[in-house]
Amino acid sequence: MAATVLIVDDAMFMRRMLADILQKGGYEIAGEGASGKEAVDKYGQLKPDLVTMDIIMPDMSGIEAVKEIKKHDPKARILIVSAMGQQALVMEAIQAGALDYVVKPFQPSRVLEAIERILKR
Amino acid sequence: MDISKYLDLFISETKEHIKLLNDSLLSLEKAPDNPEAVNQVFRSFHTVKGMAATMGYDSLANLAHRAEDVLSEVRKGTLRISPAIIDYCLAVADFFEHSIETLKAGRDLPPVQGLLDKADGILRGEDVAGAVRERLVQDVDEIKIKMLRLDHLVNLINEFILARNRLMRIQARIRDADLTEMLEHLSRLIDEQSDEVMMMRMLPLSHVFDFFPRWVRDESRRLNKDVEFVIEGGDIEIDRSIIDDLQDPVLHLLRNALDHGIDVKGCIKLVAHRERDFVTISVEDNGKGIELGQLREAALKRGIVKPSLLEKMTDHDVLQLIFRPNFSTRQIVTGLSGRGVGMNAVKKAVEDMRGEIKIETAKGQGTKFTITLPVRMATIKVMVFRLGDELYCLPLVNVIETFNVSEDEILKVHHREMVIFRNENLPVIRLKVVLGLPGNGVRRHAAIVAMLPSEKRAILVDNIVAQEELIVKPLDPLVKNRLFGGVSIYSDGRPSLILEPRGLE
Repeated sequence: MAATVLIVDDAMFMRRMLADILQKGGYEIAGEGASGKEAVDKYGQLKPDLVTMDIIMPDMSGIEAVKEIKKHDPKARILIVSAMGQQALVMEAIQAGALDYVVKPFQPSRVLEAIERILKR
Repeated sequence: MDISKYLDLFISETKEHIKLLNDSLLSLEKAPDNPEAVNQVFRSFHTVKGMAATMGYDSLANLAHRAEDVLSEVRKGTLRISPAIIDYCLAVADFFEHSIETLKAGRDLPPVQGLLDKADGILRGEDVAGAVRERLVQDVDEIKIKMLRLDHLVNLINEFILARNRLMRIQARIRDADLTEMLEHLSRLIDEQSDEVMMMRMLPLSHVFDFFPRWVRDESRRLNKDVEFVIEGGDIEIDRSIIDDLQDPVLHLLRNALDHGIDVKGCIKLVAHRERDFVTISVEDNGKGIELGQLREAALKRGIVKPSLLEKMTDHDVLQLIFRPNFSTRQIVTGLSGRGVGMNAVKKAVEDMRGEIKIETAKGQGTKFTITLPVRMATIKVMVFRLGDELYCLPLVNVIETFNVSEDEILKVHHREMVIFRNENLPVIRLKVVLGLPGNGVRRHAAIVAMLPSEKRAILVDNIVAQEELIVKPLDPLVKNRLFGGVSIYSDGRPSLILEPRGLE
């Protein structure tokens, strides 16, 4: 069975693109969220195998969302997908429990590789 | 990966952020310490950066990145929001908009270096004043093409309505039960369809209003005036054909308020209200008000009214003079109002939309212009009535109710004829007399209680024929006068003149 992914990004543009990439890569899209708050809520409902998480979002940042999700499910697998120029925040997210990160703009293969790596852990 | 299929999404989402940027920046201008507005501006730059980089628009991504850097410093507290920073961010938002139009037109992105340098200046702590912006006209071609189709659909439905109305006349003659049932069904379908299309033609007023905060801000800065600008009712929907024609008259009223109303500091309110089938849009300032003495002087000087007539005119009448052609009390051309297009043009534009404009003013307290417009345009619900052998009609929005009245019930009060209806004294309008038609000596009339712009009146006619939804056709300019707003074809094929409520006063 295909692994399920929750895509979190405040830009629909990014969510659509990530969804296309992941579906082509053989993953199933469990759901989408447009804020940190939605990420936490949907994670609880959908229990996806993996989350792709943006950092800068309205209504709770990606970092807060990582912390919150990890609090409820320490095994949660989260990949940060964030725009360039936020290295410090990416590091903070990794410290909070995210497993890896990809910087926008990304190559589709780079996203798929990162996800594969995380799921193999 | 084929990126081009994401272009539409990129454009629409960037547009949303341009709107968010403009709104947040304007609110920051009023309250520079609003952290949520700072965060919103930061997030918008950040999101546009990510999307632009993904699309491969490196120059756009670089610019957004640099603007994000500026906001980062503000968030850290090392930079404070200043007019220069707001100007800069607005300029970046404008650039985004310009870039979108360029991309839509399939051209290369415009050069970005000037704005990158300005960001460097701001980050170095220089006060980069006067970021020059061009006003970038919104390109709505895409919508217009669709709207042309919609207009065509409206025409087709109007033909449907005409055909149905004729069928109803035939049915009234032959009285076939099956036909009656079928016709009722058909009527419902047409009504639904017509409502649906009318809804499709509706757009929120924010379509026009959103442009104004920015404009007022720029102009008041240019004039060195401190103006608070308040908008209410932008969510009210109105027919698209009206939306298109609304911007110029409202802009003119805002110009007027900025230029003549507000002296140094003040407030301008743009407020829309929905009342039954009308929308009122008012532009109100708390400035100087209009000096009636100056108006009288100017009217005399320009020979707009004779001195003998002017003496007799009430303040209300004098105020109406500003709607006369070529009337302006402005001595100096300011670069804004007073450039020849006067209030007369505004009044004409409003009347072309089948609307009204009113003015109220109080010395030292301000001036308020109120435009009243019908919400819908393409067809008009009317009350059809008969005068002699001819059919006439009155827009149903102006009709409150009807009743029968005999000559004995008409009273004379101070040379004015009145009739009492539901405990109210209604001034009587004998329409036949107004139109110069011969009377036929009948002592019973039908009376239409009508809401005219200034007051309620009882309009006497021979008899009421029907209420119908008819299509308005403009009158030939040769025939057009203040009493008639258009002509329509009644369901039996006869033309019927549509009375202009304004003309009856």
